[in-house]
Amino acid sequence: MRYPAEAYARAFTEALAEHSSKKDHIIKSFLDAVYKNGDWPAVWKILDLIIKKITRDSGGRVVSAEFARPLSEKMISEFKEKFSAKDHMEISIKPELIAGVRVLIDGEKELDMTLAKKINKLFN
Amino acid sequence: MKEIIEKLKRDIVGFEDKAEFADVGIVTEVGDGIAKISGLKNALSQEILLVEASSGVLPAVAFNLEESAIGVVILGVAEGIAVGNRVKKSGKVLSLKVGDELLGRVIDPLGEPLDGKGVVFSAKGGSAGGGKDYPLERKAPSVLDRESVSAPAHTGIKSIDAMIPIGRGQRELIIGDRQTGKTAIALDAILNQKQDAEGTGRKQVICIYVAIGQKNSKIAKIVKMLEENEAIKYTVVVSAPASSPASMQFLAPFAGCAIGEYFMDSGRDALVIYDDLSKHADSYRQLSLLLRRPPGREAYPGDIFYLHARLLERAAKLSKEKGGGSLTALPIIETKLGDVSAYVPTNVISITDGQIYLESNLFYQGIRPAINAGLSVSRVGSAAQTKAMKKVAGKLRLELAQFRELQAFVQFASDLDENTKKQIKRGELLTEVLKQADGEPAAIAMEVASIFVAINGFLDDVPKKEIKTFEKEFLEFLSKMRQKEVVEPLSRGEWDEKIEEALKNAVHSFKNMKGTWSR
Repeated sequence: MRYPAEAYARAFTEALAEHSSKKDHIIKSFLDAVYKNGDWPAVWKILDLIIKKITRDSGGRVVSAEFARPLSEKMISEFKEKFSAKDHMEISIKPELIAGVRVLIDGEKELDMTLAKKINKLFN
Repeated sequence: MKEIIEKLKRDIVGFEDKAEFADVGIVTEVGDGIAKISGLKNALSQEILLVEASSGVLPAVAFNLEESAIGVVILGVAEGIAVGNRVKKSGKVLSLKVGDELLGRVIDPLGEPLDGKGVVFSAKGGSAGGGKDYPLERKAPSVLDRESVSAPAHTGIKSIDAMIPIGRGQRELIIGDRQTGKTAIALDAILNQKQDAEGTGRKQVICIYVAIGQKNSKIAKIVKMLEENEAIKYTVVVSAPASSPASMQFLAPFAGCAIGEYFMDSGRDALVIYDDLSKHADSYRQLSLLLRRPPGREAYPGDIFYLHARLLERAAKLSKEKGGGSLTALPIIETKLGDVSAYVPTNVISITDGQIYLESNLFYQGIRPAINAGLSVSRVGSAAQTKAMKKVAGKLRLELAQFRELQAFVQFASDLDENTKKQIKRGELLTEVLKQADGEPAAIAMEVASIFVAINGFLDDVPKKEIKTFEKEFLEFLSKMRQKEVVEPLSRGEWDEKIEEALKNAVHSFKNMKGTWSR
């Protein structure tokens, strides 16, 4: 990478805060800059960092919830209600968890209530 | 079967799993035995982190603690690790189980056996209670914990024990090009420890041979040689061959040092051989470059000096209050085309207490061990030399130095005065006496006797080609006929006029018995 992903994320969020009226222009120019610098393969990593930074700057948390099985809309909305509106929520399905849910907050703290973890703990 | 069922029942009934938040890290990059991890802000430097890979839980060492990520070195095969894998803290720094059970074993740098002789430490625990955990990285003993080197660590190689003596607790570098006999010297030193401890009053030295980036075939050969000579009983081999990951090669000398420290802390004397630190520096360079640390001279990272300094500084002679144990280090450095001014050789030369310099030219001239006595030095070992060796070796150094100066005139021998001719002849004699075959370390008494006869002109009438035969037969004569008067006191390092006289008489008796050698 020509520039670190953290630098892109910081530059973008600061530019957006300084020129909030030119939002569309800034997004387009930012993506152009990433492409021109040859850092396009890392664009998802950069976007991920931008989401985290915007969420944290607004006082929220990045919550990643992994369920073993698909949930109904009702259950998803009930789950989302447990968190603040400022939080950024990512929900994914991971069948290897067998049953239960694993919640990761800000990429640092994890609450693992899956059957896979219990089985691992029992046998190791 | 019933016992198994009962155990399982206990495990199931006693199983507790509270749902609570735990600190985790996420693998964000992985490749070449290195991974980047986000999260785990409280991880310690050198802490073992556990990567939950698809193939099971793999240990990794926290190497780079950065602002937003941790650079880790994966211990073992990194194939099962993928981006997104969870990583947890273990709360432990990298350590190794050490104990007397390690003697006679071949292990990897993490303490796993490689010799097929089963587990090293049984669950019940042996004499050392199942082994103690020793950290791979540990602070070197302080000034107050140390004392000066005072006991000799004999290598069984005449030229070393006489001119470049090594003391217990010293760090002596063995340096030279490839194929000059560096490993052979180290192995002779290991083999010699058995005979050096027998009946001499000196403690048995425990040996640790650390193979870094060596060929597996070479390591197998060394282990076989140690077994054949029964030296494996007091030796531990730490093996990180060329086929092992760079992380293992990087950790190997630290593991060897930790094992040596265990013996040193228990009041014993240990000798650790790092074969070799050039490859160790290369493995550290590889890891550092992969972790994107800035490269310096010859692309080595900036802390390459500190890496070797902190390793070799752990060799010490402990004070009596600390048990009086010692750890002697013999690091090996391989030079390229004799260039001792390269980065790593100069670093290690400056760290160690002297160097044994081996030269290709001497090796090909048939002078083996190919030690260049002029460039080799031991800064502290002379204090540890026995009285007997000191007596004969002082003159040896001078005679050889004079010979080296006159060596250029050897081809004009017919035009030289008698005195110069004599000095040249004496130099050639001494060079011949100092030659020694691999794997045949000499007992200290025999070394002293050999040098004594050469230095005092008893070999002047012996033709050059007969010197080795004379020496062999004379030493046999000494051990059979003069055991009490000469060999035993010399083994203990004693020297007085009575012993000198007995030795002179022994030479005369031997010469009379054999008739003239001037054939």
